[in-house]
Amino acid sequence: MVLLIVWAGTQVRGQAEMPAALALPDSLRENANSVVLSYDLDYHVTSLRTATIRERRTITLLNGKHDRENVVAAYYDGESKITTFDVLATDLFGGEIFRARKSDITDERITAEGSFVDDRWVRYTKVPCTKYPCTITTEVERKVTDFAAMAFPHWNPVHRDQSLVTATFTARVPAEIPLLYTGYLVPEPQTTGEGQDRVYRWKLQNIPAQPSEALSPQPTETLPFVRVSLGDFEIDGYRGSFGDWERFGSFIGTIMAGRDELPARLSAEVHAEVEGATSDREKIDRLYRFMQDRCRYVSVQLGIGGWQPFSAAYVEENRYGDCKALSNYMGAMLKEVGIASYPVLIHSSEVPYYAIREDFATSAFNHMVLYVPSEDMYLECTSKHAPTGYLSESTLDRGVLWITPEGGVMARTPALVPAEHGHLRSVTQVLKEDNNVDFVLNATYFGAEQELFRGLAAYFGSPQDRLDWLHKNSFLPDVSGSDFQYTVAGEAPEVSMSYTTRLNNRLRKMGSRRFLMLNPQPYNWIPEVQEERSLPVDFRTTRFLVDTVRVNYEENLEIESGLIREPLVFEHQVGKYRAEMRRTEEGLLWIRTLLLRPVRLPAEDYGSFRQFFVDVAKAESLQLVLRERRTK
Amino acid sequence: MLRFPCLLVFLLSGIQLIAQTGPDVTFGPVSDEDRALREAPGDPTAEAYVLFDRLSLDFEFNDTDGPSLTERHHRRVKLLKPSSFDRANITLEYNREYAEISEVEAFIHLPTGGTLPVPSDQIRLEKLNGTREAFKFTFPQVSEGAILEYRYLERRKNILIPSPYYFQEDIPVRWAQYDAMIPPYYRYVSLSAPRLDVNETKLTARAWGPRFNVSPYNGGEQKIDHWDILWAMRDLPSFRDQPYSNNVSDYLPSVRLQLQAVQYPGRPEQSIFGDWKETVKELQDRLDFGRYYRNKVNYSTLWKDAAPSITGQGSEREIIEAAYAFINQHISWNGDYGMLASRTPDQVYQSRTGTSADLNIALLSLLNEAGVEAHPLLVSLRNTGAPIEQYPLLHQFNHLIVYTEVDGQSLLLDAGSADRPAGLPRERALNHRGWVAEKGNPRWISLEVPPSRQITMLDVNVAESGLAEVVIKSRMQDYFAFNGRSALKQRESDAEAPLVPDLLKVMPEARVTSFAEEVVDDAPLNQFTYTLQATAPVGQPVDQLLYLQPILLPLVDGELADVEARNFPIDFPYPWQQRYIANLRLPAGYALEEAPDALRLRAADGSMTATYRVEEVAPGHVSVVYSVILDRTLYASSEYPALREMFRRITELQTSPLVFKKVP
Repeated sequence: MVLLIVWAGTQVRGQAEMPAALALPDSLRENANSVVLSYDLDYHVTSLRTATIRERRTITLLNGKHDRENVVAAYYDGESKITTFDVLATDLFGGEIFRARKSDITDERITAEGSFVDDRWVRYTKVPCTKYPCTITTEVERKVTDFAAMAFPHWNPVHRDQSLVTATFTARVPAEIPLLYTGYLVPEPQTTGEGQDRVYRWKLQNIPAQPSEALSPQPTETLPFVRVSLGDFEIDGYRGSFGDWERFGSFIGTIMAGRDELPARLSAEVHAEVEGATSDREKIDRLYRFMQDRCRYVSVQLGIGGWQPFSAAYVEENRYGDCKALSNYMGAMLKEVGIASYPVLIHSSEVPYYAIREDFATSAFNHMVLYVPSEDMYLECTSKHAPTGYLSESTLDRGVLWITPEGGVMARTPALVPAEHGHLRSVTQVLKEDNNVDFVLNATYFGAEQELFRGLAAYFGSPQDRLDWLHKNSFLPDVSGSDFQYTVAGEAPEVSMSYTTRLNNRLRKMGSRRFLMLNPQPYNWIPEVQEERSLPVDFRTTRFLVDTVRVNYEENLEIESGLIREPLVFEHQVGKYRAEMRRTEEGLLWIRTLLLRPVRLPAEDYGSFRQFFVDVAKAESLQLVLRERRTK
Repeated sequence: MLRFPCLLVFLLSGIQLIAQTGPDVTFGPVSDEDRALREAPGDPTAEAYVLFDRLSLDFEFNDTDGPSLTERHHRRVKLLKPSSFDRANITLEYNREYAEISEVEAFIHLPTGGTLPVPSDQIRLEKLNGTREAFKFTFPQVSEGAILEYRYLERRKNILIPSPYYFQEDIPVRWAQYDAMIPPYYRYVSLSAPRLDVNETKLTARAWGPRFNVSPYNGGEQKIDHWDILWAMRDLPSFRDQPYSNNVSDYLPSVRLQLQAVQYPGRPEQSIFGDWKETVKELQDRLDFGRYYRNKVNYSTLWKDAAPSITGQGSEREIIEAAYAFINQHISWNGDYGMLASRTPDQVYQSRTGTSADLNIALLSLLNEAGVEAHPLLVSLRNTGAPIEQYPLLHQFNHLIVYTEVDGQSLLLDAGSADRPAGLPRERALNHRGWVAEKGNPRWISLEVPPSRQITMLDVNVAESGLAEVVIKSRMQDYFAFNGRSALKQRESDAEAPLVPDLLKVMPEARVTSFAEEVVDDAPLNQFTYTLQATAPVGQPVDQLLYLQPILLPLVDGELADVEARNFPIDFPYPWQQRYIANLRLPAGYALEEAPDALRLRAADGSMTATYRVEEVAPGHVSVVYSVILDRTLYASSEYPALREMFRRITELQTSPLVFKKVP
């Protein structure tokens, strides 16, 4: 067996890195753009509200395709402090090529996307790897208190396209504080008592690289990790526990308590607003609209404000707030008219990085919405334009935490149903004698498919800006047409659009023939080719897309090619495609339905999965060839 | 022919009065009419409307620090649609090393009446990075019809370059005003000359230090005549950007002042920028410019390590190439641009990273030590403003490259990537003109690069089903080669390999089976030969006919044909020539029945040509030869209609099929 030279030092300073990269076995080179030679994460809980987190990592970048791993970064804020930040880089033979000095290190305020005021910082340095392999050794230590201590140091020792030689995770916790943990693809920790502390140790060795593959599950489903939390903690005087969801939810409820009192004037307005409403649903709808008209989303995350919402009175005074503040404000108004609601912690994203589980309470959320149990309705309080009760695709079908008066309750947002997310679109193309095409589009987008268009209306006030954007993104064929109508439904998740134009570039004339791509907006996405697939397929799209295209042409033309005489049908677990064509008095009518549904498939089914989309794309690119009639 | 955007320069002297009545706006009160306004006049679609915007330039003097300038900003914006509400989030950023902001005040005027202040504790000062800071605040009770109003004072220690001011914005503007009270000792020039609605310059007596004892009886505060300037524009439409534009801000009406000379009473005039010769002398004497690459103490370690690979070279060209390669291989670019070095070449070498100026000054030091005559070449990057040649304004430059000559021909070196050959500056540096900072011989030159070329040959063997085995061989040169090599190295998936995205855009069902760089010994770095194999459904068989798409890799995109009229010139970074040759092998028995006629398109000035020809070479063998040549990089907006027509016809050709018929 090839002897691995494992870095086991403790100090970056003054260390001459051994050329471990030279001795890597092929099994750790395969599929790897980088190798973690060693990674030691030490988590030392020093009290209910303080901890020290120390990371020592040596990683070899094998080529330039690494994922910005030459950038070493550590985050901090008012409740955390970086006490050590050392970075050293060596070449293939262990010669030092870089050592981060003060002038190489940058401290920068970071403002999260969508946030206006944020009090978080990043300290980073970029290691100038001009040749590979390039080995980077880092040592970072942070001291964290209060809320910063709730960002527990979860252990993700290896990433995709990366192999691992050895890694350890040591958690040292006072014996009276329970350490809670869950793991995947890791052995149970060794536990020992050391003085007043209980010590937990995990160790991993020789993990081959897992290649990045499109449409694969989150790394937390295929790579080893350990996630930790504490059974007892105290933050800014609030005591809490991650012992179970109920207790964690209780803690959140505690820090939100007392912030829902409405100013007297608002209270009166709220009652006036719902006067005459005949049902709770109507009251909710009226108050949701009231809030949308009155408030806007502005994210201000300072100190405890990252966890605790601004009060309803503050929101009322300023008419703005972040997701917590607006949810609290909406909940307070509902409470005023006797409707109970729960704040809901949720992870807003395409796919949550970590899917929460019933048996392990953890903070894996980045957003808050509101839930009205009596109506089984969620309210997205940051949106100024969503219909009442509409949850966006980025928050559907995932685990959430309701903050009920009795504590936290884990729940799940509704799954996506194809019939509720898609479009009904029709296009009429009239071929003119001068080879122009009169083009008319009518479309209604609904559910998740309308989110983009609803957002577009909110973002671009000017129709010309909308036109430009729609054309640039291939939803419209040009910008010089007429009768552009764009209607955003207030009550339902629907956006309708119509557009008329004359196109001089859709019909190609050649001799006696005319060529026309039948479908102006084909569905032609095809997953990339993968001869060797190792990870399951995780397809997340839910859609029902209905398109009809009419092609009207003069009597002196006939179709030479492109007619479909029998319906074209493709079916797979991922969806169903059906296209048919009918003759009409003016020409022909093409009707196509495409249903897509989420599916998890084994890696070996990737080929058939891809083939479905190849077949669809081919069918969608149907070209009509018309020619002048040979006989009258 | 338009060479590059022309910048008019005019002196602030002489009294002019082309005045019209301007609005009398004081901070705070707004009229009922403005409160009630619900759309911008002439633009009912506008999301917001600038009712008033003013920048007032003034000067202060104290005996310790001397003169400084103050800029008072006052802005009033009407919000008309919810899409404008993010405009209520205000960030006022500055660098405390050179400036400070104070006296920030803000009000919101509600459409239904009433005015609310932004409380001072809600106006937060944030430290950003380094010496950068920002005041941040947002307005309460924002709604459609609300008017945001705020003002602040910015003080700058340096009076050389006041803040530029743009009259036009992305939303309509009712009134935009720049006014200044300039002591007579300071002579400024403006680097732009907008067509003003109000152009008023007069002399106004005003007290101002320093106190000069010009007579034995005049020791107290004195009033002196100031240049009292009011420039304003009214009713400006919103501004819209367009693709293939460059230096767009140059086309917006603006004021950009620059101090030209200072003359205090009884003292000789002190020129701030005399001419380019004086400027280059000063630059060359600077530690972080000339001295870094001319004094060996600053680069001795770098030279010691680089010398073995440089000194052994034979020709001057080889020496240059070796030095250029050494820098690229040992120092990585940190992503920042600059015209002055941040550290000595030795320090940069030791840290293995640096700005564009660090890398190129390090390269200059090697060339200098190797006996190659080379000079800094300063440029303003694309989209950061057209070069201004009339005055030696250094602040216009934000990037430094290296100018040298080989066999009497200029050679531009711009270190930063091992894949970009000598002679090819970064694309962003190609802003038409640059200034060679050669001591004693400073000069402006055109930044010309040879046309980048690409020849792509395809062998397409078509089966009866229409599916084809396609072998693509592409010879790329210069920027095409650099982009191709970079795409190959940096791809995160095979779908990002060179030519693959283009192929998949035309034929999403295509399946790429292999791709590779064809390594040719001793091939220069500016060439990249690449092969790609794929299967693609290029044809559609129907009965006895086969319709075939011969252009699998379009040479031009449709963006240029999109708009009806251009507001700005069309500006390509470099000239290029592309040639596409496809040899189509048809299944037995098929003959060409119909194809687009051979075509040759040529722009009136010959700067752009396109040719297309289909030929049946032999039974079952058809060749398609298609080429586009773009010799010019800059076209005036008035030339757009003709250019668009060419692009439309070219894009039409790209999608035209061939028709084959099976012959019995």
